[in-house]
Amino acid sequence: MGALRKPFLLLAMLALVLAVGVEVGAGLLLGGGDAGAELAGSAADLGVEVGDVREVSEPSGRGTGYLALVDAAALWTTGLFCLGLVLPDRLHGRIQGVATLIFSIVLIIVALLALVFAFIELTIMVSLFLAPPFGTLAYLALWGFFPVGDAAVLLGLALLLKLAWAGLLIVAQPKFLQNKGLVLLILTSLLCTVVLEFLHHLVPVILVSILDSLGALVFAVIALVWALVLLIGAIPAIVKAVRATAALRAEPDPHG
Amino acid sequence: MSGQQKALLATLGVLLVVLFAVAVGAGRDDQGDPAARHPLVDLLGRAGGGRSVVDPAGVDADCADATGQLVINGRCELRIADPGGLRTLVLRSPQAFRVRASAPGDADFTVTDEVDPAADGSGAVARVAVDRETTVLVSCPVGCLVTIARD
Repeated sequence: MGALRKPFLLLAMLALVLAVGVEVGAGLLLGGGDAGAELAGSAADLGVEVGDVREVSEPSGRGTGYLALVDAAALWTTGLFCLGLVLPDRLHGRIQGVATLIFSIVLIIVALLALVFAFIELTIMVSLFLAPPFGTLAYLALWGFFPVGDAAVLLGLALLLKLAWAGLLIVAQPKFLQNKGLVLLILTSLLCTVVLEFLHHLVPVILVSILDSLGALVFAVIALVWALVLLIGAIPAIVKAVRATAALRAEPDPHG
Repeated sequence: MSGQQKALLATLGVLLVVLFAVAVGAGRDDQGDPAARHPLVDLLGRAGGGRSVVDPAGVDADCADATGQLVINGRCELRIADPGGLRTLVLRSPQAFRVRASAPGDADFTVTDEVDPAADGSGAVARVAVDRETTVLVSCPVGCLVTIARD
């Protein structure tokens, strides 16, 4: 199988960091464009008069940003591989369990909060949309004109970077393919990106924000599941580290 | 890694890219009709789209006869206290009435709508989205009784 090819592992890490950066930055990069004309058109469709339409902009959506929750678990796992390059094996083995336990607890809390926010927003969106004409117009003003094309560009970039991450990981060490958990994590991350793109094109533009929010909700749940998997996986590592430390203490001091 | 595994991985990668391209290329890109119903949104609405309504006690108006009861002759300004989030002000009346309200959020426009009684006899209903302290103008030239509903 050969030794670990360190440069490829570092490049894989870089690709994933960039992918997560794109996802987290989506909130700033997406939306903001003027949607006043579109809103006026929709108001006419509803047969309602609107005055001067100002400050109506495209929303940024939650879905792309929430992908970062799923990828946080992937980033952590890849980061641990990279940490093994700089830390001695003994120290790496000892801190891995505790650090993963702390990380997974933080991820559970963040994913739970994100889940609640996405759920509340989704219920508000649906409630407003189903309450014409004032509610529907309010929905359209806040979320109605999702920048589907811009989001596709960002998601495409994120998918490309994640494919590069997966490919570089395998090139760095083909044995990674024997790690079923890692393979499942890679597949989850890639599939979530493709599924979000499908959701963005499944319905007319005015409804995309609702499906984007639904996707965000699902990603928060998936991140929660992965955080629990990491949490459970950290326990044997902690027990092993504690046993190893106890065994070291029990050894008689050769200089004593 | 065997050649078969390599081929499987390459196929999987290509499949994901193709699926992505299909989603971008073959998906819908029409604007959509806000007046039309979409089954998916209706389903979500039934599943959990509960409506948080404005408490009638948080509405102050000169035309208020009692809490949540408005007797309007001509026009009446409803002053709504900050509801602490996005809420729906539900106005019901057996007669037709006209509502003028500002949009919530950062959007800067006002909406005016004429609400007529439904054919099924359930009266006229207006649902106004409110997310901050605001004023809603209700008018009915011939006079009408409007109720601020809780659902």
